[in-house]
Amino acid sequence: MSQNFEAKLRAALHRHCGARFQLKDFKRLSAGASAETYALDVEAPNGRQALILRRSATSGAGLGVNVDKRTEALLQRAAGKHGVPAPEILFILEQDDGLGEGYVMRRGEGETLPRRILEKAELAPAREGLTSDCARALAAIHAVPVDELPSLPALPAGPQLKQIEALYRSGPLVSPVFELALCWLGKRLPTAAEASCLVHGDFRNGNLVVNDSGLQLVLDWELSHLGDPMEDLGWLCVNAWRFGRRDRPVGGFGQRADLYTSYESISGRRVEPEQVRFWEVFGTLKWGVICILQAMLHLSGAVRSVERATIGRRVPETELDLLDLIEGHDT
Amino acid sequence: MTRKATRIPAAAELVDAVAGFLEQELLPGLEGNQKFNTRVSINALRIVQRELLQPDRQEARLLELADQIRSGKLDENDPQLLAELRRHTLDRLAVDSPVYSAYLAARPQS
Repeated sequence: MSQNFEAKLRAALHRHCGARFQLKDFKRLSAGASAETYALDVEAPNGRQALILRRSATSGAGLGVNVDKRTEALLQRAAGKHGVPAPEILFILEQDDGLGEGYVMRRGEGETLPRRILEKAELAPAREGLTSDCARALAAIHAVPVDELPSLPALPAGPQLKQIEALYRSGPLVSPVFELALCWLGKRLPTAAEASCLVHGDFRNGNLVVNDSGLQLVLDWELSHLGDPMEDLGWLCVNAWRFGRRDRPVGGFGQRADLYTSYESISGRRVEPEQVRFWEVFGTLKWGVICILQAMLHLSGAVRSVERATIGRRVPETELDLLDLIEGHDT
Repeated sequence: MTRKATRIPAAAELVDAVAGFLEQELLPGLEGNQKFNTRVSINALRIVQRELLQPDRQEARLLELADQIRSGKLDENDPQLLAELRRHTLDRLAVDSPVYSAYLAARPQS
């Protein structure tokens, strides 16, 4: 990491938070394709603060479906104002900071690794309430007034299906099971009267901060859009995000009936199981297409990564999940 | 126009990714015996990579099925189609992800 980067980071903290915000340490957390995440250890007037910097990757290699970092920050702020457990955004980077596009947020206290959330003994009580915590968070997300949001793409079922199909066809992989799923989905598009509320787009085990008090934060808002709220419920139940606990459809920790009942009573919205099933099939296909795109990032030479390359071989997992769902063998 | 395949990356490409990682990222920081054996490992992987450039027998059938489903020639409800797709998918999972939860549920005992 260049000294230039560190100097700019210090300057940005001073500029936006004040001279008494001193950067003590920082480290890069993950090497995402479209975003870079850094943990910042900052000394502030009221004590040590654990912050996170998220910025667009300098390589510019993305999946093409993400919102920009400024929008991401603004929508988390708006969501936070309406009872959503979204991260607190301290400041948004400006051009003069010389750090590209991004923002600094407060780091959540708790576990984010899915297997630990599912297995740690200390989190057993938290797991008990986690399904209803998620229902509450989702109900709040879907209730955020749209006119208080920055501009987001409108992606109800039809347009989003076309988008996923186009992404699939642009890649090198041919899958008869994906073709089947595209047919199946195309014939069952929900004709929801309301398909224009805030949808998180990546609400799943893997993007939750959980501690012994339960769900603390919902992370990773870059796939947010306007659409059908049932999409978020479907995605949460996709088998890939159950991390081996296939018998607990909700994130590997909960049952559908509990999720639907809690969500209905908090949101006042009726949950149609078949509609959630549509979105679970859709989400499974979408994850499969994301696997292809990840492998392509390596194969194209954009980001050489043995991890990305290997993700391409997770496509058959999604194919079996699709067949199970379509044939009714799912849980 | 990208060449189409029914699985990506190809096995040879996966092996190339691993060999590349060992060579570019790991090797420069090694010394002595570890350096030597890493070079040997890279060489072994390159052998496997060359050996893997064999045509995949399932490939033609899967491309055909995909084409027929896309053009509407096959019915999504056809039990024989579903059974064949399931068979191919399970074969793939045996290689790509043999401890995946859905695979274990579909084929609990061997």
